[in-house]
Formats: sequence, structure tokens, C-alpha cells
Amino acid sequence: MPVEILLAIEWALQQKDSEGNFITKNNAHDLVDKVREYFNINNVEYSTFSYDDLIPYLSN
Amino acid sequence: MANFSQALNTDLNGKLTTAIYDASIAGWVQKIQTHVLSSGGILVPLQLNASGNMKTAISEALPVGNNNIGDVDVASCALPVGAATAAKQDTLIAKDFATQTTLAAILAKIIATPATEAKQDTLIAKDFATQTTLAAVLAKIIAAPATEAKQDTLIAKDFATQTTLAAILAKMIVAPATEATLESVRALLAGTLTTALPVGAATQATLAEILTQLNTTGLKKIIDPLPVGANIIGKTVPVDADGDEKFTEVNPAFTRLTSSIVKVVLVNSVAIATTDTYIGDTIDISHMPHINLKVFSTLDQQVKLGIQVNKMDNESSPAYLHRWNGTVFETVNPDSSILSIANGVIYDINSRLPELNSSKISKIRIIAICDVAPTSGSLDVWIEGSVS
Repeated sequence: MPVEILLAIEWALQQKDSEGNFITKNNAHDLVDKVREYFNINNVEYSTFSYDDLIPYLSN
Repeated sequence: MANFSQALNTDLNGKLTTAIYDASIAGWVQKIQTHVLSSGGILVPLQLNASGNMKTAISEALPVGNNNIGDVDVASCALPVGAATAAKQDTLIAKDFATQTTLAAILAKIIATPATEAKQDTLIAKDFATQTTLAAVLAKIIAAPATEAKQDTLIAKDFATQTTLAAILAKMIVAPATEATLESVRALLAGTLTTALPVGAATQATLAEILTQLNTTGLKKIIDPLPVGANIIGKTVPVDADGDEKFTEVNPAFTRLTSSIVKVVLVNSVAIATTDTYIGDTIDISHMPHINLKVFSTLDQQVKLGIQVNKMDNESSPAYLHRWNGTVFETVNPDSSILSIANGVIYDINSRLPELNSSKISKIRIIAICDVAPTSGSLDVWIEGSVS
């Protein structure tokens, strides 16, 4: 995973889903989409990843 | 002229004489008193001893020059009697000091010229009273160290019987530095602790509060999901909002007698970013007699899916599912485009592949390919089904 992964997750958890609710750690699909969005916004290079790849970074 | 007070003797013929006749020698003996006129004009009588030897006395120093005296019988002398011939002196005279072993040994230890030897000269030239080092040492020495009161007090102490020392000794284990248990603990900590604990960590108020919390009310809640693997949890008691047990003997929990619906995730929100083939994990669903396969994508590109299954538990690897289209069997792989998924909606794959409704599948995995690399979104594939 890119070194910016923690920043991406922190940012994603501050975003809201289509219903106006904050993204949570357990909302796998929305969390992955927002992390990817952060990467795109900040021009972070990444390859295919999944929610399983984010789990180790969600403990804190 | 005065007359002598004594009359002369007369011989046999009546002749007057000054001699005295001595019958023992049958001769006339003339008594003569000889006087010598001294340099001062005084008549000094010459005396003889009983043997007729002249008695002399030297009252003045002998004159300068050769005064050959010959043998002298010394009546008294500062030297002890017989000093000149004393046996010890003779012995000493006979000694050859140059060959004496002890003297040779002493000589061997004496430097060549001790009085003027260079180093000694240097030392002699030193003024020890003003030497800095000696002065510094002296400054640090108490006035009378050997008898200084405090040292005397300490010396007088019997440390072996001191109460405090005995108390400390009583609390110490035999060999604390090498005590087996401590060594084991230290070895364990050495491999565990990589960062030093903060000072006072053992008595931190917060830690104490946490300990109290755990010992009294226990752990309140688990925030994160438990990790994958064996998370053995003992008895759990569901409670309602008031903290009362949710299920009791008079209010038992609802129990499904046939089966329950579960969700098994096959593709867990995968953000596909390339056109490479994505191969999902092989998931064991042998415990699910009926499955309903669903897909949801937010990828900004179309994604084509393939389904690989194991019909039997002992098959080594899954193979693509084949479906009957009324004419021939079709392979449900990405290339066949049977499952082309657009974004934004949930697909019920069973409606496209009714074969899944009656199939008994042991294991399953999903293959996904995007012809154009997506730049946003992710893909989810899961199974909803009953558990036998």
C-alpha cells in the first residue's frame, strides 16, 4: 500500500456517504471508494487493493 | 761561710772523711746529691729510684724535631689496656673487606655515585612543600585521618550485627543477579520490550484506573471487529438497552429450526486499478445448500466476471462454471461476457445463472477483468444463503 494510506483512511473517515452519514471503518465499500478518491485527488500511485488490505491500518 | 750541721766521719786512723763505710761491700760509700742548674738558675736535684735508675719528669712539650724515645712504658692511656694488640682489632685488621660477601652485596645495590646521581639530584632539587599534586592531596586529607572521630566511629561499628543491614539482607534473595526466575523474566522482556517504559509507568494513575476497571466492571465493549482466526469467546449474555438479560427462561431466544441466512463475501470491495485479471480467494461454501450470488460495483468501467467452482471437496482447484444456453454449454468466464457488470446497481446473478439455484457447490471464487482500467470505485461480490 502507498505510504499515504493512513492519511487516506483518516480523510475517508471524515467523508460522508450518499445518505449524508459519515463513512465508518465497517462500511467496506464506501471506505475503499473514498480511500481511492483520496489517492486520485493527491496523485498517489496505487495498484489494485481491497478492503482486506485496509484492515491492518484500521486498528488505531 | 756557714758551718755544716753534721760532723764528718772518721776512718780507722782518725782521719776525717765524708764517706760512709759499708761493711756489706767492705768499702767506703760516698753519698752524693747531684743538682742541675736549670735555665732559670734553680738547682734541681737529680733523683734515682730504689734500683739506682734515674727518675725523670718531662714538664714541658718536647721540642720540634726528632725526639727518639725508644720503648715507652705507658702507665695510663685513653685507649683500653692492650688496645694495640687486642684480638678483635687483630681480627679486623686481618679482614679483607674487598672480598666480604655482605659488603659486596651492599655495594651491588648501591648506585655508582649516589651522592650526585642525576635522579637523586633531581629529587633533591624538588621542593616538595610546593608541589601542586602533593598540595592537592594534602588539601583532601583530613587533619588526623587515623584518629578522626567519624572514622573511629565507623571502625568501631560491627556491620555484621547492624539491624538495618540485617533487615536488608533478610529481604534479599540468595543470588539476585543470577536468580533463575528473574533471569527468565529478563530474557522474556528482552525479546518483548523494544521501547523503554516511561518513568513511573508501574505506578501510573491511569494504568491503576484501567486495572481497577478491568477488575471491577470489566471490559465494556469491543470497538473493532475481531481478527480473522480462532477468536474463542466463552459465554456471552445478550442484554437489552436497560442492561437486563435479553433472553431468559420465560423469554427464550428465537431459534431457527431449519437454517439461517448468512452472508459470505467473495470479493471484499476491491478497487480494481488495472486491466490485469483479478482472481478472488477460493471460499468454502460446502455448508450452504442454497446460495444467492450478488454483485455490486461502483467501478467507473464495466467489469466482466467469471465464476469458478469446485463441485466436490476433493477437487484440487476450481474450474469455470458452464451453463446450458438451450443449444450449447457456455463457459462462465470473463471472456464470454455472460456477466458484464455496470456500476451503480446490485446484480442478482442467480437470475442470470439459474443453475446456481440447484447446484451443490463446495468451493467458489470470482474472476474479474476490466477492459479499461477503472479510476474510481470498487467491486463487491457476495453470497447470501442458508446454512445447513
